[in-house]
Amino acid sequence: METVLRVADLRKLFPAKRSSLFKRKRQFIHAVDGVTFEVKKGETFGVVGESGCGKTTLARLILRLVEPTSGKVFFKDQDITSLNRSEMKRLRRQMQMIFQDPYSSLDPRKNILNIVAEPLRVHNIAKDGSIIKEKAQEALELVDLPTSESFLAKVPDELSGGERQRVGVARVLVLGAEFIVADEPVSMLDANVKAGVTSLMMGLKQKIGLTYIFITHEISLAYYICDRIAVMYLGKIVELGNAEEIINLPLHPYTRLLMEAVPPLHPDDKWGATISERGELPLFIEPPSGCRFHPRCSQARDICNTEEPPLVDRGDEHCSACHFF
Amino acid sequence: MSLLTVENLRTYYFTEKGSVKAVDGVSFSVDKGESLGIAGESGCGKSTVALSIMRLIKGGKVVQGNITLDGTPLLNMPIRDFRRIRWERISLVSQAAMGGLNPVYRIGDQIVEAITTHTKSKKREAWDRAEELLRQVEVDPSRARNYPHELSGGMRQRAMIAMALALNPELVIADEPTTALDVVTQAQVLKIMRGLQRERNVCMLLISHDLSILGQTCDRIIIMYAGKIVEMGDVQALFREPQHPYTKALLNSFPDIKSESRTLTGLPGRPPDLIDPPSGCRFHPRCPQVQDICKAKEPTMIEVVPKHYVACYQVQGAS
Amino acid sequence: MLKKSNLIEFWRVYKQRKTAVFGLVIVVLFVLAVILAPLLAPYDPYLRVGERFEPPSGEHLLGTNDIGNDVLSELIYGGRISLFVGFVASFIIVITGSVIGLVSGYLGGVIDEVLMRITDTVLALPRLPLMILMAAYLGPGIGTIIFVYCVVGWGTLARQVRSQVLSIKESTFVEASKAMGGGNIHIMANHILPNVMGIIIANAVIEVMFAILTEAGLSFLGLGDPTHKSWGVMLYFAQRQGAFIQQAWWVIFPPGMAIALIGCSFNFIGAALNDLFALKLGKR
Repeated sequence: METVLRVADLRKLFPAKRSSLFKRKRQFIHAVDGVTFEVKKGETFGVVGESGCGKTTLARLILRLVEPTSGKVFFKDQDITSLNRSEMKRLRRQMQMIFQDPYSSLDPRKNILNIVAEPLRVHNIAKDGSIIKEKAQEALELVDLPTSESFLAKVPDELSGGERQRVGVARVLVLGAEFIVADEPVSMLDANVKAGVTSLMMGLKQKIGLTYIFITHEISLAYYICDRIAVMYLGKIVELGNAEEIINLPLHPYTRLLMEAVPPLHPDDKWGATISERGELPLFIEPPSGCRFHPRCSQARDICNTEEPPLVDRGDEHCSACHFF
Repeated sequence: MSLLTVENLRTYYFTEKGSVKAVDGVSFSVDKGESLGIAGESGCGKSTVALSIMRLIKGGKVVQGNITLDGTPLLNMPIRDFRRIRWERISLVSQAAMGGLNPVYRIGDQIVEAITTHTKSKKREAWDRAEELLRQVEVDPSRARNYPHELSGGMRQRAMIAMALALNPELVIADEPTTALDVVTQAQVLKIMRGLQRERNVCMLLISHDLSILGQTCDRIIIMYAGKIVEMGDVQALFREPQHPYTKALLNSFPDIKSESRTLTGLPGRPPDLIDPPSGCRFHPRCPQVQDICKAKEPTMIEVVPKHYVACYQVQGAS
Repeated sequence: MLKKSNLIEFWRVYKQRKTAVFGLVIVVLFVLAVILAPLLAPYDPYLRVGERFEPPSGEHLLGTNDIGNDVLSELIYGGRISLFVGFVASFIIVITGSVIGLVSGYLGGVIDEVLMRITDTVLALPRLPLMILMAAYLGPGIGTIIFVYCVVGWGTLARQVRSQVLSIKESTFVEASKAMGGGNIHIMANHILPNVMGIIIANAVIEVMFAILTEAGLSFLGLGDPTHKSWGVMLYFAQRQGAFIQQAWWVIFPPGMAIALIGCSFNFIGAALNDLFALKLGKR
C-alpha cells in the first residue's frame, strides 16, 4: 500500500519565556522532538497521548500550519516544507483538518452554507451560487445533516455540539480531500454523541476512501477505530505499532500506565492497581535527562537516567523506545 | 440509614422563551457512607440537582420538592442558617465553579478562608489544618504557598477537594470533578476521592457524563434524562443488566478495551427541548423500542428487581 | 449578518432600553429636520429679517440674533453644518482607525510595531491645544475643523479594533480558514472584519457625538467658519455680540440645547450598542 504521509525527524521548539532576567541561555519547550513515522493510504493512524505530549503541535506541523524547527514532512513523496505559498495552498485541497472545539471552530457570524462552502470560495471552484450550494448540500448529506434552506441559513449557535462537529467534517469533505488530520474531534462531546460522530467518520472512510490521522488522549477510543497507533510522551513517540497488538501487549511502561488509567466498563474489573497517587506529568521546559519517562516509571534503572532509548522495532513492526521493554 | 433525601424535586429556569424544566420530579436518597453517582448527557439536569441541594440556583428556582439532611428540611430554611450547612455539612467540588479557585489568592489562603469563615479557628491553626488537608490529598503541603496557576490541573483539583473536606462535611457533591483532566491524572484524583470517602465514611454524590468512572467509584447510580430519573440501582446490577433503553444506549457509547467487538453505537438525535418537553416518556422520540403508550403517558418508577428501579413500559411489560 | 431575523432580534433587545430608543428618536427627528430645512425654516438664515435681538414672537418663533437673522432658521440650517461635520469626521476616523487597527492587529510583527508607535504618539498628544493651534494656522473653514479633528482623533478606535482583532485572530475558526488555504486578505475580510463590526459601529456612533461637541467647542472659541453658521458658530456670535449681557436667552439657549440634546442622544445610542455587542461577545 502506498505511503501517503511520511514524517522524518520532525522537531518543533518553542521559545519559553525567560524565568529570570539573569539566565543567559534561551530556554525552549520541546513540543515535538524528533518524530518519525509513515501513514499508508486508507489507514486510520492514531496518535495517543496526554496533554503536553506534543500531539496537537504534531497535527499542525503535518499540515504546515506551523513551521518545523527541523525535520521534514512528505505528502505523497513531495516535501511540503519546501513549497511556496501558492503551491502549499493548492496542496491544502488534499489535506484538511477537523478541529477539537465545536464551539470555536465555526465562525459564529456565518451561516451553515457559508461555513461549508468557504473552501470552495477560497479555491475559486465554481463562481455560480447554485453550484456552490449544491456541493455544500452534497457534503452535508454525507454527514447526515439536513440540506434544507432553513438549515443552511442557521448559525452555529443554533446547533448542538455534535451537529457542529458534523459541519466541521462536511467542510473538510467539500473539496474532496482524502487525507484528514482529526485533532481530538470528539473529546468535547458527550459520550453518545461521540460515538455517533466517530461512527460517521469511520463510515465515511469506507465510503469515500479516506486516510485519517486521529489524535486523541483516549486510548480506548483509539483502539476502536485505529489501525495503527503511536503513543507520544513529552514530544517523542514511545511506542508504535498495530492497534490490536499494542492494546493486547503494551510494551512501554507509559503505554501500560495509560491502559491502567482507563476505567474499565465492568465494575468488577480492577482499575488502576499500579497507579500511585503521586507523580504527574512534569511541567518541565527542558526534558529530563535520559529517558523522558524515567521520573514516573516504576521500572526505571540507572541507565534510564543517562541514556535516551531509541525507538526500536521489536518484531512485526511493533516499536518501543525503552531500554527494557 | 438515609443522610440525604430528595423528594419530588422540580427546579425550573426562567428565560424569555419560557421556563426550562431542568429538573422535573426527581426523588432519591443517599445513605450514610454511600457513594451515589448521577449520570446523563449535558443538559439532563444533573448539575441542577446539585445546585438545588446547595441552593445556588441562579436565574431560576426550586418550584417544588423537599430536601432533607438527616431529617432537617433544607429548602425553606432561612438562608442565614443554611449558610452554616453549606460547607460545614454539605460541600461542593465543581468544574464550573472552577472559579472555586480564585487566581489571585494562594491555595493555602483559600482553604484557610473556608475554615475561618465557619469556625473560630485562628489563622495559624487554620493554616496547619490546610497543610494537613493537602497532605491527605497527596499534595506536598509546601504547595499551599502557591497560586492556582502554579499548580497543574490535577493538583488544582485535589486542592479543591481538600477545600471541600476542610470542615469535615457529611456529604460532598462532586460535579464533573475530572472532566478537564488527563486520563492518568483522572485516575489518581478519583482514587484519592474514593479512598478518602471510604476512610472518613463521608457521603459522596458524584455527577458525571462519564459512566465508566462512575462505575468504578460509586456504590449506586442514577441515570437521568431530560430532567427525570430513568433508572436507578446498584452499580453492579445496572452495568451488568441495564434495563432502560437509554441506559443500554449510553453504555454502548463507551469504548471498552476488554471487549471483543470494536463497534461503537451512538444514540441518534439530540436531547429534547426542556421548555416544551415531549409528551409521555421524554425519551420516546429517540427510543428504539417506542410504543404508543410511551407517547401518551409518562411511565412511573417501578422496582423491577430489589433495589433496581426503572421508568419504562418496555421493562414493566406493559402492552 | 444583516439577516431579517437578526435585525428583528436586535431591535427587540435594543428597544428594552428606553434611553436608547429616546436617543434614536431624537437623532432621527434632527436628521429629518435638517434635511427638510428648506421646507421647515421660515427664513433664509443669512438674511436680515428683523431688528437686533428681537425676543421670540409670532413672526420669529425664536426671535432674532445680533444682526437680525431669524434664530429658528439659523438653528435648522445650523444643524446641517453641525451634523455634517459630525458624520463626516466620524466616518473618516472610523475608516482610518479600523484599517490601522485591523492591519496592525492581524499582520503583527514590524508593521504592528510601527503602526502602534504612531498611534501611541497620536494618543499622547494634547488634542484640544493641538486642534486649536492647527485651526488657527490653517484658517477658518469646515474642512479645517474636520481635518484637525480627524488627525488627532483616530487613535482610540485603532487601539480598540486592534485588541479585538488580536483575540479573534487566535480563534479556531481562523485557524480552520488557514488550514483550508485561506490567505490573509480572505481571512481579514471574511472572518476578522465581520467579528469586529460590532465595536466599530458602537464606536462610530460615539465618535459622531464627540465630533459634534468638539466642533461646537472650536467654533465657540472662534475657530469656526462664520460663513457656515453651525450651532457652535451661533454661540460664538452670541457671546461676542453681547447676547449674554443683554440677556437675549433666545440666541443662547436653542443652539446650546440642540448640542446637548444631540450629544446625549448619540451617547445613549452608542452606550446601548456597546452593551449589546459586549453581551453578544460574552455569550461565546
